[in-house]
Amino acid sequence: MQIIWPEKFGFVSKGQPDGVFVPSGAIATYAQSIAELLTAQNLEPGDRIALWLTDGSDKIAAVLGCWMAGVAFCVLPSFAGNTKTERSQNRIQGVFSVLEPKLLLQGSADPLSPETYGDIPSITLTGVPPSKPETPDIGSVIAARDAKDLAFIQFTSGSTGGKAKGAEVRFGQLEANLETLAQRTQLTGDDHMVSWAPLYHDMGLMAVLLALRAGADLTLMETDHFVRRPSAWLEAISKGRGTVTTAPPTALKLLTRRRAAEVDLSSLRYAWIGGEAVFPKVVEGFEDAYADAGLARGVIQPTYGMAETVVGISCGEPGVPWTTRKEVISCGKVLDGMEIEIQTADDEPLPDGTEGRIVTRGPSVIDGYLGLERFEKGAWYDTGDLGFQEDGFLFITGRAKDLLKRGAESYPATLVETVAEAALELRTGRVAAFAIFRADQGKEEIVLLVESRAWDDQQVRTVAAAVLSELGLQVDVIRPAKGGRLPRTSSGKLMREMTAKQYLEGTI
Amino acid sequence: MTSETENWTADRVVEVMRTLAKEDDLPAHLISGEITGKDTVETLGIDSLGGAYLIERLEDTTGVQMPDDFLDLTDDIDKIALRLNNLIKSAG
Repeated sequence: MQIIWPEKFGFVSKGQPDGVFVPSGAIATYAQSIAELLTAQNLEPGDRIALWLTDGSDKIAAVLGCWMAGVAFCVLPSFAGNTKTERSQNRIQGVFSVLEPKLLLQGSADPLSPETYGDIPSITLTGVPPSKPETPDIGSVIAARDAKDLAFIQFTSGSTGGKAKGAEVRFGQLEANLETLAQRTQLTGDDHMVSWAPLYHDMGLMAVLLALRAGADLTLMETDHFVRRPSAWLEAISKGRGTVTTAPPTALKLLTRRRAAEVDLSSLRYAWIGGEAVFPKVVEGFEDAYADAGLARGVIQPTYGMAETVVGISCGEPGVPWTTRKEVISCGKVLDGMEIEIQTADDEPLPDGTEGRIVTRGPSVIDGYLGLERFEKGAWYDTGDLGFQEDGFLFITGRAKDLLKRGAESYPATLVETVAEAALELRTGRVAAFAIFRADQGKEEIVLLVESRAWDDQQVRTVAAAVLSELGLQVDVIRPAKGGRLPRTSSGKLMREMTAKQYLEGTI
Repeated sequence: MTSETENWTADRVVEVMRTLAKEDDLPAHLISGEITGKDTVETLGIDSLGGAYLIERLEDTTGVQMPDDFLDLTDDIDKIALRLNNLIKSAG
């Protein structure tokens, strides 16, 4: 992967709401010092380093430092910081047992508790070192990394429903996806990326890497700062004349309701919107709310992708407004080099306009998960999502995999069910968790149905509080199944899809 | 200062929550379930996104800008009402 240095990096946080600007040379020097630190640890090529960092300069320098030292990194998911219960502890232990990191790099702020990382050697980064007269040539070292070398591990949404799933991303796959995304979005060194998306999320990491590859200016905002003050994102775009950005639709919905005052979005030319289901109502609402702030039609671009394809599968052309078919929003056309097919349950291709399983293949599809199954090279990868194609545009209509999404965070249905069952002291299989695409509400409705004959407000509250406390997930609807039974197969396996169908019909 | 901005009680905050629940922004169980001033945002099952909707509605109702750290998920509703009144008084 090529690195083109921007003049400077901007970092925005609660402590630095107006941003602090760090020259590229300082970040390069910092990355080199991290690489030297790693090299001194006698690490082998391909070894994996866990990153738990909050400071923006730490994050960029650590990513580049790892690559320079010939090792791969993994930005730990946010739940690593939540160790309230034994189950929470088990989740991060599951990640560590698969990742087997040789080292943990931490920032000085909000470190992990020693109980969490146990005997994994930990080093605390001390911040940007004094500049050296000469900027180290990191770019050529990283560009020389082999296409087959492991670049990073991204733990996917399935990471908590069984054995943790760490997507192995290699430099060849990374470069293929970065190149096709940059090409589709016409990203250049004249752009300025503004992002608050966390780096453990594929959208957040790729926002940074796309900017570094194109030589675009980069303003990186602490995710917590956005959560506390969402308007800070649009203010950063306004003030820094940001041209490209990325966010989940939840952010658009929030900022439509809580409109940022006195922002100028006329510089913005492309916004990747994804990470969860995108609904026309949400995008249209945001476009209307900020039209007088200079936001042009064709800037907001619903996209589709996943960690298993590095990030992108499809997105729109710059300046071309999104369309709808059957009231579903388009996620653009498939990226060059990637292929999509809509198939039946029996792997048969379906014609245009017919809903089915979305499968994909191409140079960005990963080889497999760390320590788990390998994907067959060149074969179709089943995304687990449902949708249709029409005139080359992709439309997402639902999800076949047992996954719930809220605010671009993913939660395996089985994990949510386990937490609810434990809270109510129920046997396994007595709770069904599923998500319904609600175009009218502009969101996925998250539902928990419980097999219980005795039911009261206290049980609802117990489940709601437990799921929030352990997983950080707000559940929209918690109630008993009508008739006290959830649908099951003849072998007793819970039928979530059937449960969701009956819920929509009002029969359960 | 209008009457909309005066005398915030836990009950008034609960009413705002119930309205947001009816609009699908907060969990449905808050529409009619029992809620007291001692309940915290977290035990009601509201996450940071739900909290952002709550702040937006409180700002809209009171006309007073809330600080970034106005809401903590461990706050109880009595505390939220008290903070609201203090904020309104200092803004007034």
